[in-house]
Amino acid sequence: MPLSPYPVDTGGQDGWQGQILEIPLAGLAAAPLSHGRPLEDLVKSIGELGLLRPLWLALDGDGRPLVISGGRRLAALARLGFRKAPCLAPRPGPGQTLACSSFLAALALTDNLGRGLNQAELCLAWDWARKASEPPAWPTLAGLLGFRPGTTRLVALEKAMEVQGQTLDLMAQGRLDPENAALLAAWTPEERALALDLVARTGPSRQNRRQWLEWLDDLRRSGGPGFLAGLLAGPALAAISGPRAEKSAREAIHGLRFPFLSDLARRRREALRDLALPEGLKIELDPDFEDVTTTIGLTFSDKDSLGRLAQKALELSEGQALDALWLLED
Amino acid sequence: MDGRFGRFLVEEEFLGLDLGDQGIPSPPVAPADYPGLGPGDLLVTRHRGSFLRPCPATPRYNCCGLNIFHIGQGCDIGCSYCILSAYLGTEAVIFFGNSLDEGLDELSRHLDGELLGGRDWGSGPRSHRYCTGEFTDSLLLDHRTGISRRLVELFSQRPPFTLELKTKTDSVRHLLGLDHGGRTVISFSVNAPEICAREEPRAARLEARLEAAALAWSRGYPIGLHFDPLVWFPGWEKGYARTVDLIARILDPMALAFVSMGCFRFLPALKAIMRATRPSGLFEAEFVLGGDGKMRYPRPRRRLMYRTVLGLLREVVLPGTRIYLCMESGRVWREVFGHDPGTAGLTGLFRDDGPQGA
Repeated sequence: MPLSPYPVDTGGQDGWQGQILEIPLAGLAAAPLSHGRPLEDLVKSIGELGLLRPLWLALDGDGRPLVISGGRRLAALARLGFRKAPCLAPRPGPGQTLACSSFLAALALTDNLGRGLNQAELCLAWDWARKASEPPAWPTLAGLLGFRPGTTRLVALEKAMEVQGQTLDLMAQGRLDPENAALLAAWTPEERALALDLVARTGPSRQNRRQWLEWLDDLRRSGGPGFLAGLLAGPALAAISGPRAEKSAREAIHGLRFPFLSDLARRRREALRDLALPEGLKIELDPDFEDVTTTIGLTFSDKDSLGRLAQKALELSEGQALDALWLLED
Repeated sequence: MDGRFGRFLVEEEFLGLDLGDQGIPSPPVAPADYPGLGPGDLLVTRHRGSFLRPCPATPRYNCCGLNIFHIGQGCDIGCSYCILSAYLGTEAVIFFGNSLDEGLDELSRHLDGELLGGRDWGSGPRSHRYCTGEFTDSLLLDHRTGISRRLVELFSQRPPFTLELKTKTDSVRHLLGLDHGGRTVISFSVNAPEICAREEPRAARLEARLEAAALAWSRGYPIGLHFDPLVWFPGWEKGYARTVDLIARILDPMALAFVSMGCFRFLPALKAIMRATRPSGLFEAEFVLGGDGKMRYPRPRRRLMYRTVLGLLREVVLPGTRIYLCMESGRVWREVFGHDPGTAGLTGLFRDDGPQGA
C-alpha cells in the first residue's frame, strides 16, 4: 500500500532532514533491530514524559511504512494505547525515494547504535542492513557496526542468523556469542536444542561456553549422525544441574572429548596419591602433560618442619617417583 | 603440473620474464589483495623486503636453524593440514618475480659473507642449509620460473652451504643434468599412504615421489625425507610401516642425507578456517597447546609416534643417517633418542663445521 498522503518535499538539498508526521500505529511495522529487551522502563518513561524522540520512517520493499529506528518505542506506544505515532521521514535527495536504501540503512544503524546493541541485535542489524541495501554499501554498513568485511566475526554474525529462536534469546542475554551460534548453525535442531538446554542449565563462563561447544562439535564430527544427540541426552550430561553444574559439565565434556588425556590425568592423580606426600608438600604438574617442569611447594611453620619437607622433596627428586609421574602413560 | 592454473597473472614489470607464456597483465598487488585471488590463480608479483629469513622457530623447542630463501608463497596442492592457504585466505600461488634477480643477488652477497654470521637475524645459531620450500613448494613452479636450476648452480659454487629443495611433487627431471656438486639436497615430504591419498589431493603419489627421489639420487643428488606431519589416525602404525617399506624398496639407503619427523600441529585460530575450506578428520584427535602457541598431540602420543617411526626407519637407513625432530622439546628428544642436542647441537648437524657435518 503506497503511502500516498505522505508529504515529501523532493526539492530539498539537505539530505536527511525531513518532516514529522502523525502516522496511525495500525499501519506501521518495525524493522527487526531489537531483541530481548524488556519494555517496562520505556513504557513508564513515555507514560510520564511523553515521546521525546520521533520514530524514523522509511518504506519497505512493498511500499509500506517501516520504522527503521524506534521499534521499541513503537511497541511501547501501542502498549500505552496510543493510536498514532510521530514519525520523522527523511527527505530524499533529488532522484531518491523513501524506499529502504543504503543511505537509510546507514541512518538506521547509526541511530540504533546509540542505545548499544546486544549480540542478538548485532546479528539482526547486520542481517536487516544487508537486505535493505545494495552490496556496494555493505563494507560501509559493516564499518558502522565496527567490523571489517570478510572477518571471522562478521561471517559469524551472518551464520548466527541461520539459527534463531532460543539462540537469539541466549545471545541477547549475553549467554551465547555469535561465534557459538554460527557453530550451532551446522547442527541438527535436536542437537542444537539439547546443547542450548545444557548452556541454559549450567551457565558456563564465556571461555567454557566456547570450549564446550567446540569440543561437542568435534565429537559430533567424529561420531556421525545421532552421536552427539545421544551424548547430550545421555546420563553424563542430561542430568547435570545445581550449584556445581558448570564444573561438572566441564569435566564431563572434557572426558568425552579427551578420553586419552582424561585417563592420563586420572592415573596421575592415583600415582600422586600413592606417593602419600606429607602435609605441606605439594607437587604440581602440567595438566597438558607437555611441560618439562615440576613444581614442588613446601608449606612450613618452623625450621624443623621445613627441614623435614625439604628432605622429603630431595628424596623425591633423586628417586624415580617424579619420572614415573611423567612416564606413567607408558 | 603444467596447466593446473586457471589464470596466470603477471604484474607489468615482470611481463618480460620468460615464464612459459605471456600471462595476463595484472595491476600491482599487495599481500592484503591476496585473499581476493581465487584457487587456481598464479600471480607473479614483487617481493618487498628481504628474501632471506630464518625459520620462524620458538625458543622452547630445538630448531635445526634452517634458512629460508623466500621465492614465493602459497601452494595449490591443497593438503588439508596445510596452514598456508589458511594464513593467506587463498590457494593462489604467488611467485616473486624479482627473486630471479634481486633475490639471487641478495642470496649471493649473503653467502659470500657480507651478511654471514647472523647479524641480521639475531644471535641464534644458524645452519649452512638454505631452503625455498617453507612458504611454498620448492618445485611447484620450476617449469615456469627455472629458479631452482639457478639456485643449484649457485650453491654448487658456494661450499659449505647447501640448498634444500623441498617438495611434494615428482618434478625433478629438469634438475638431473645440472652440476650440483653435491650441494643440493632434494627433499620429499612423505606420509602414510592413507594420509597421502586422503589429505594431499594434488600431490604426486607417494610412490611417484620416491621414484623421483631415486631418479635424483641416480644423478648424485642427496635426498631428504620429511615425515611431517605425522598424523594420528586409526592404524597409523601400519600406515607408516608401509611407507618405510616403500622407501626401503624404492630408495638406496645411501641416498638419504637426512630424515626429519614432526607431528601435526596448527594454530588454534586456524582450525575453523582450515575446516571450512578443506573438510578433514584431522582435527578430531586430542591436542594440547604447545609452547609455540600451536595445537599438537599430547607429548605421550608424539613420543610413541616418533619412537615407532624411528624404530621402523632404523631397520632400513644406514647407521649415522641424520634423523631429527622438527620443533620438539629437549624432553621429547631425550625420550625418543636418549639425548637432547639442544638447538646448537641440532643446528650443528647441518653445518659443515659441526660435529656431524656433511
